[in-house]
Parts: sequence; structure tokens; C-alpha cells
Amino acid sequence: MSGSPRVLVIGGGVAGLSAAAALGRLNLAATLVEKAPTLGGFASRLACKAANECQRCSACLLEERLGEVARQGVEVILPAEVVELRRDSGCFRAAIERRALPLDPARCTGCGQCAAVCPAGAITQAEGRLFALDATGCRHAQSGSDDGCTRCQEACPTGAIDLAARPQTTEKEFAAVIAATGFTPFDARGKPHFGYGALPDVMTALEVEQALRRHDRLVRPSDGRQPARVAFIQCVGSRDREHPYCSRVCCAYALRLAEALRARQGAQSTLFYIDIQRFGREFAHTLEGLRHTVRLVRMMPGDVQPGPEGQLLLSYMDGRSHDVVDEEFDLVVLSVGMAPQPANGELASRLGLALDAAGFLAASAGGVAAHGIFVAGAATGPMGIARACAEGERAAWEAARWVGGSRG
Amino acid sequence: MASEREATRVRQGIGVVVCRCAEQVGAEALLASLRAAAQETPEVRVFTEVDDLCHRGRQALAELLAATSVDRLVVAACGRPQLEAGLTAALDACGLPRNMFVVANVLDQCQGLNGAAPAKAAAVLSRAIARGRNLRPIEAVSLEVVRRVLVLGNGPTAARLAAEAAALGLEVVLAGAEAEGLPSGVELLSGARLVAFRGQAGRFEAELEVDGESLRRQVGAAVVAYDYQVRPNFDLYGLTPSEAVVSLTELEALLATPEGMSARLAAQGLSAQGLSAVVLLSGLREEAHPAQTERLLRAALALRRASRPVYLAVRDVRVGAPGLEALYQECRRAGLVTFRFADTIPQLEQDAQGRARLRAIDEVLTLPVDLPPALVVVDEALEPVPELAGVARLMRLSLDAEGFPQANSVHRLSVATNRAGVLVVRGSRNAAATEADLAAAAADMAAATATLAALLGEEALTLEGREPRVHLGRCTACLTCFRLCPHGAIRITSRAEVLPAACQGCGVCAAECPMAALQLPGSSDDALAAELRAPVAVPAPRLVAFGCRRALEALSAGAGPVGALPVGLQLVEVPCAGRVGLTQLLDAFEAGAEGVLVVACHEGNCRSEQGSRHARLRVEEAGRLLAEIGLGAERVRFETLAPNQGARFRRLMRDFETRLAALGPSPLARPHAEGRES
Repeated sequence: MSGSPRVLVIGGGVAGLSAAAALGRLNLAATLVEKAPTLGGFASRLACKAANECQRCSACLLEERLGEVARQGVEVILPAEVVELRRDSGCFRAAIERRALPLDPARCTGCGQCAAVCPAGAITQAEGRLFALDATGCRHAQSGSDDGCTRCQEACPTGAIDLAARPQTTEKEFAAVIAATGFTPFDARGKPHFGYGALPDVMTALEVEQALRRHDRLVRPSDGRQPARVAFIQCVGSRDREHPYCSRVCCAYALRLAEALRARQGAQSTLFYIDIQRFGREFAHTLEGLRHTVRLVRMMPGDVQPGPEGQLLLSYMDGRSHDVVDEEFDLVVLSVGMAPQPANGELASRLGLALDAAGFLAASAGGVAAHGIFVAGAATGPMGIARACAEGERAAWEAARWVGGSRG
Repeated sequence: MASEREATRVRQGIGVVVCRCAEQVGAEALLASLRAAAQETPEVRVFTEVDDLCHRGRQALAELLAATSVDRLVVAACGRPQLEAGLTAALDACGLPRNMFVVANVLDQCQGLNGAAPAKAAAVLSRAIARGRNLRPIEAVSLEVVRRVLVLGNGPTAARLAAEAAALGLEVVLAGAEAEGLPSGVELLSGARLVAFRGQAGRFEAELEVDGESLRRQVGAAVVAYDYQVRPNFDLYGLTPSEAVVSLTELEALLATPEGMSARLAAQGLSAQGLSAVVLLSGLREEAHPAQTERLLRAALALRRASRPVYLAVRDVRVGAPGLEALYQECRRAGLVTFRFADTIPQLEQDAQGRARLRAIDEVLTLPVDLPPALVVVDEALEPVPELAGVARLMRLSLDAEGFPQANSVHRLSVATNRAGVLVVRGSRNAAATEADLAAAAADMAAATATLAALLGEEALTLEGREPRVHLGRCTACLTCFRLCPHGAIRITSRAEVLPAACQGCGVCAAECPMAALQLPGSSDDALAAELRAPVAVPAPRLVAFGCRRALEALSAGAGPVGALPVGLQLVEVPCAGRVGLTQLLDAFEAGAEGVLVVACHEGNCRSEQGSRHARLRVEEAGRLLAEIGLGAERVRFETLAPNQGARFRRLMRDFETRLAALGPSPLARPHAEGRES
């Protein structure tokens, strides 16, 4: 192996970021490959759920990790994927394909001049100060040649836009690999009786998080009004025949969101559930407090229907009367579970890893998936942010030990 | 040759570097405005513009330092994280201390201000220059470490940890636990008790008592690794242990041998083959843990395989752990019957022979349930061992509400405590996990070993020197700092002494010291006052927001182009909101602010544990003083924000701006409202 050893981290969510930052602290060079145009993964969509007090949701841990990865000088390649990985005399050779990125987030200062001149409205504000270009609306992309519209490129003062950008593949050598490829949220359209996709005021919890993060307020998508009565439906895409596992984070985020909505905008929440799962430290105390502010109903609703005046009707069997009741809500939140990445199979065959019964990446106790390959975070199964961070750091430590050992 | 020249050259003055990215946020006038701001200060010797400072432009920093004699840099660009690596590398290359730079985040602070951007940018830079002028070199110092670890524990976790630490090449003192087959380099002190613990990370002194004898050991770090204590919940259910009422551990013992269950049934005069039911009780009166559920379900499966009727009576089936839902489904397919009680608690009666009976109304079917089982099994609570309380007191560790020596904070990630060099693992930090969740145990072990390797891997530890300096003439050893320090970093001899390897640099002590005897490098009272008084020309109302660097950076970046921060807003970075003393709050008003705001972390999220609370109390006090002098308490505010609440930050700032505009100028601000003070 030429030069100092370098570790490949696949995935720029909290687990991958934690791993890359920890590798830096262990004086190992790291290359972080992320398939999205920005780092942060799903955590970058999550909101602080503090009411008067911190609710220990850990969403704020992301910012710190992003800062540390920048400080440690970790090499970040995005939006990119590892298209090939093979063992070569004790180390790994990876082909990393960087997708064409007409608008480079690393150079974008968020001035918005590109969006102002775009005739097709194809440039919109992404997270924070970044902008993103949607190729399906872009006139340059549609023209299929380099002679099309280039107004945004001309307007960009920092040279962040290169409409002629082409994918680039680089080959690199690594001493170890950490796979932190994360999860995919359950697609709520898979439970059509809850009306997601058909009824505008049925949202996923992830969308609620994102709304709170961006606007600090939750409003009904249909009329922009703040909801007074919110229903959370638990276990959407968890603990069913296709998903024979508990997603472990949904009771925590739903109850914390319910509390945040109560404290910040006075909304009253009802949680429909099968079993409340334990989360966080001091759980008994936390749950006791929440029982006073959130209505807990142990019953899975049958369906969600539109009401006559824009409200939503949720039908469920009342535990006491045994009647089916239709209760009115202003907003229904589906607590979608954490499902394995559809690409796990391909990744596993490329890296020579195994999958568990549900389709997550399998690993030994130490997070070792194969010689020199370590896995961390929600790629191995549902978990929260704090655990993903801890696993990322553990994988970095194991990888450092591996690199130290293999070098003698 | 180069180093000789370096040694003889006297470095002095400020080099200002503007990244041209920053120029783009406003009009073309911005750069001119920045140049003018820099030229106002005689200490600024160099002013230069660079392209792409966070990437290609990095080299320019080193070149600038090599070509000139400035000893500090003020950079007007974007956020500090992107620039820090380049800045420290450039400073290192010239042999300058790493703290000799200030980042003025012009890009984020001027977003969306349009015409007002040049004036704002100039103000941001002027304040950064004022801060830069007050920078004092902080030399990193080296602390020789004792490469020995104290592991306190009572069982397998402590023994495993001792072996892991020994594998790192560290000496280990394993106190408390009985253990066999330990590697060489581990000194086993079975039955030892900690009686005193002093010092700081890298150099602690532990006093232990073994068989009435006192032993002293120098250690570089300590790991608290007691396993849980298990307590069967008989009392909670009003049951007395008997032949027919057993704990989960006892049931497991019965199931461990083929004849165990039959013998137990025979003892009660029941046929071994009969359909004698078993009722498992879990979490009906307390909150069960998945680790308990896993063991209950394994036992249930074994019982069902022997064709015994098994009922599980619970409030919630706790399946939030790897593989547990699948195990529960398997149990259900095998015939386990679950009764869930959300609103009611089943009645449990025990007869003279010790046999228990469960009566309840099924909450789903609303039908009576009456179970006279052959065996009732109660679950168990996981508790901190009694030794933990004493250890925590001696080590000055914060406890959570359940008595575990690790505060319930998201920042005490995995094994860290409030004291550097003292770690907690597994049952000592309330981190129970199911047996199937092997990764949970592995993560704690790895985190502890990695921390030990980082701390004690080398002969010496390099410290940044961020601890407050003690003014010995002022310190009266009043113990305020000792009492308030969340990190156990103060030692009182004849005066206060700050232990550099324990100090996290939060400044809670400095803010509360009644004699102003503690001054933090980079955040001293004088430096903050100078920054507040930096002459600027921005439209009223002038607002000052104090906050920690971590939060202010992320919050201003998150504000985005659609909603600008108030043009009159001055962000003042402090290590922690707890650093903001009454002095700073009043200084801000004296310097012309019309409103002052302290941005703190939410309660329970503060890394310095009580920093937010101290900040809030001081803001309340400042409010009372302002009311008294007729300035109005509403001019000072306390807000809690997480770094990802950029949208909320923007809204709060604008609300405050509007409110202050309505209040009119502060009488103290008037002399400064027009132009600049001298």
C-alpha cells in the first residue's frame, strides 16, 4: 500500500460522520463518500424537539459532527457512490463515481442570484444556505446540448454552477472500509387506508420534523393553519408481516413531537399505538410526564377519511364502548418505520457481506462484517441518532485497530 | 535558516484576509466597506483578498504569514469549521500558537441584507478586529501522564475492561471485582473500596481500602464499570416468594434442567404432565426494559415447547431491541397468550400456601380473566449497585435521576462523564441491552478503550491551555469556583488553582467569581468589553446576542437568505452561555446596546450542565437591575435554542428587533447613536 493508510467511509449520515471524525482524532486519513449532494443524511431533516427542557432527541448532535468533519479535513466526495470495491494485496481498491453536479454545494454561498434568473424555476433553496438545481425542470438539461440556457451559470458569482459537469470516476486505495449506508423510511403509501398521498393533511413524522426544522411551526399543508388536534399513528411500516421488527425510534420521536407541538403551539395530540417502547434515560419519569399531556389510545385505527369541513376522520374501535367511532382531527401523523436500504443487496454482494432476515447489513458483535470491513448505524437495523453516533465511533476504533494490526 | 529568521523576527500586528466569497452576499460596495473597516485600526498591517479560502485559497494564509510580520489573522469569510484546518496549519507552519486567529462570519451574518450588507460586514469585521487585538498567545502545554488505569467494578464488565486496557499496554488496577485469568499487568484488589480520589485526567491519585489497609495508586484515568444489581419485583405486585411465586432468574434456573419444572410442580402436588399454567408478570407497575422482555420471551418459548399454557401480563410488550419482535411473534405462534393492561392493573392474590391468582378484566374483550396458575413469575428491576453512590460522590460525578453517575444529557455520549478521564460503562451508566444486542456492549467497550488510548496512549498529554488564569492577588479562596465547576477542575490550596487537564473551558467560574480573579484566555472580561465597544456604524436598534460558538455559528448559517438577521445585531461568542456574567450584560448596555439577549442551550442539554441555568439566573438579575434604573427589564432576554433551530433564531431576533424599535432608543445608547465613539 502506497502512502499513509486511508479509510473509506461509505455514507454521510450521523454514523458515517461520527466514524470519519473519530478516524481523524485517531490520526487516520478518511474519505467520506455520500450519495446525496449534502452531508447529514436523515438527521439533517430532524428538528429540535425541546419544550421547556431538552427532550434528549439528539437531533442537535448532527451540527457538531458536521463541524468536526470539516475541522478534521476529512476528504468528502459527493454526490458519489462506490461503484466497485475489490481486495488487492491486503487492502481495498475502490472506484468512486461522482455524479454530475451542476450546482456544487461546497461553493454555493446561498446568494440566490441563480434562482432569480432561472426562467424555469428549476433552482430552489435546499437545506440552510444551499440551493439545488432540479435537472427535470432545467432548460439546459432538457436542451440536451451545451448550447442551451446558461443564465444561472453566468449569474453565479462563485462559479458554483457548471452545467456541463459530467460524472467523474476516481480510483483510490484504502486500508479499511466502514459501511454506514443508513436506512430508508417506510413509504407510507404502502398503507393506503391511512390516506397518505391522497389526503394533504396526512403527513409522515419525517415531514413534520422537516417542517419544524425549516419553519419552526407546523401548519396543515391544505390550508396553512396550525392544527389544534393531532393524531399520531404508530407502527406504520413496523411490526407487521413485511417488517417483523420494531423500528425502535418511533415511540420516542412521536411522543417528543407531540410534546413539542403542545409546548410551542398548543396542539393536543393523541397517540394510537400497540405498545409504548422504552426510550432514553429516566424513561419512567419521562413517560409519566407525557401521560398527562398526550392522550394515549391503545388501538390501531382502521382508516383515515376526509371530513366534511376539511378535517380528518379517524375510525377506530373504542376500547370501552366496543363501538367503532369516527374521531375528528386536524392533522394525522404517520410514524413511519425504518426500513432497510433497497440497495443493501447490491452493496452486500459488492462488499462480500451478509444480510439479516429483514434485509439490513449483518455484522458480528464488534461490527465486523468481513475482514477489514466494518458496519455502523442504521444500515444494520433501526436505531436512533445517539446509538448511530456511538456505533460510528466504534467502527472507527475497530478500523484503526485493523489498520494498525495489518501494518504490523 | 528559515527558522533562525523566524526566531529573530518580532511578529506584531494583524493580517486581515477577506475571502471573495464573502463579497458576493451584498453589493459591490462590500469589499470597499471591509477595506475601510480594516484601515480604521492601526494594528492592521496587511489587508488582502483571496479566492476560495476554504479550498484553494488556504495556501495564501501560510504565504501571507511567511511574507509579513503579523502575529495574528482576522479572516472575513464564512463559518469557522470550514476554515479552521487551513488557519491552524498556516499558524503551525510559522510557529505561531493555534489560537491566534479570529473568524468573522461575514457571509452568514450579511445574508439577505442587500443594501445594508456593506455596513453590517464592516461592523462584523471591526468587532472581529477588536477581538483579534486582544488575543493573547496560548501555548499548548504538555502533561506527563501515568499510564495506569483504575477499573472499579463488581463483575464481568470490569474484568473485561481491565483485560482490554491491559491489551493497550496500560497498567491496570482492578478494584472490587473478583476475577480469574487476568492478563499480567493487572493488579487485582478484590474487595477494595475507593475512599478518596483527587487530581485530573492523566494524573489522578486514588486511595483505596483493602481489608482495613489503605493503599494509594497513581492512575491516569478511571473507569467505573459496576454491573447492574437485579431486584425481583415481588413487592411491587404485593407477592411473597414461594414455591408457586418465583422471580425470572429462578424460572430460568428451573428451565435449565429437564426435570426442574416437573420437580417444582410436584412439590405443589401438581402433576408434571398436567396443563399447569405459568403467568409471567412484567412492567405492570414499573417500566420494563427490553432486556427483561427478551428473557421472559425465551422462557415462555421453552415453556410452550413443553406444552405448558403461558400467559404474559404486561402494560406494554417491550420489543424495541434487535430481533425481539421476531422472537415475540415466534412466541405467539407457539401459543403464548398476552394480556395487555394499559388503564388497569390486574389483582393478584396469594393464599396461605403461597399460590397466587390473577383476576382482571381484559381491556380488549371486557371479559373477566381469572387465572389460578401453577407458577407466577415476576420480572426484575435493574438498579445501580449501592457502591455507585459513594464512588460518584468521591469522584464528583453528576448523577441522573435514577442514581447512575452520568447526567442525562445527549452530550454525555456513550461513556463520558462530567469529569475528563473518568468513564462509565454499561450498568454504571444505565445502558442495559438485550443479550442479542451484542453491538451495544461492544460499543461501550470500544468507546472506553478508544478514550483510554487517546488519553494515555503516549507518555504525555498535550493540553490546549484554555483554562482560566487565576489572579492570585484577587482570589480570596471563597470557594465559589470550586462549588460551581461542573468538571471538578478547581483545587483550593491557599488560592484557587485550575487543573488544566480537567478544565473544559466553559467559564462558569469566571462569570461568577466575585473578585473577577478568574480570566479565560480569549474570553476575558477585558476582551469581551473591547469587543462590545468596538466602534461601528450600523442602524439602530443595536442588539447584542451572547452565545456559545457552537450554537451561534450553526444558528446564523441556518438563517439563510430568505430571512436576514437584524442589521444591528452583534453576535458575541463565549465558550458557554454560563460564561456571560452580570458584568458582560451591563457592559453591553453601557456600550450602546438597546437590547441584550443570551442564547443558551435547553435545560438538560448544556455541556457544562448548569451553564444555561446560571445564564438564565443572571439575565433575570440583570432584568431586575434594568427595571430599577428605569431602562426596562424587557431589554434583556434569555432564550434557549439548539444549533439546528436557525428558523426560530431568525424569528426571535426579528421579534426582539421590532420590540426594541417600539421601545425607542436606550438612554445609554444615545451618545453612540450617531457615528462612532472615539
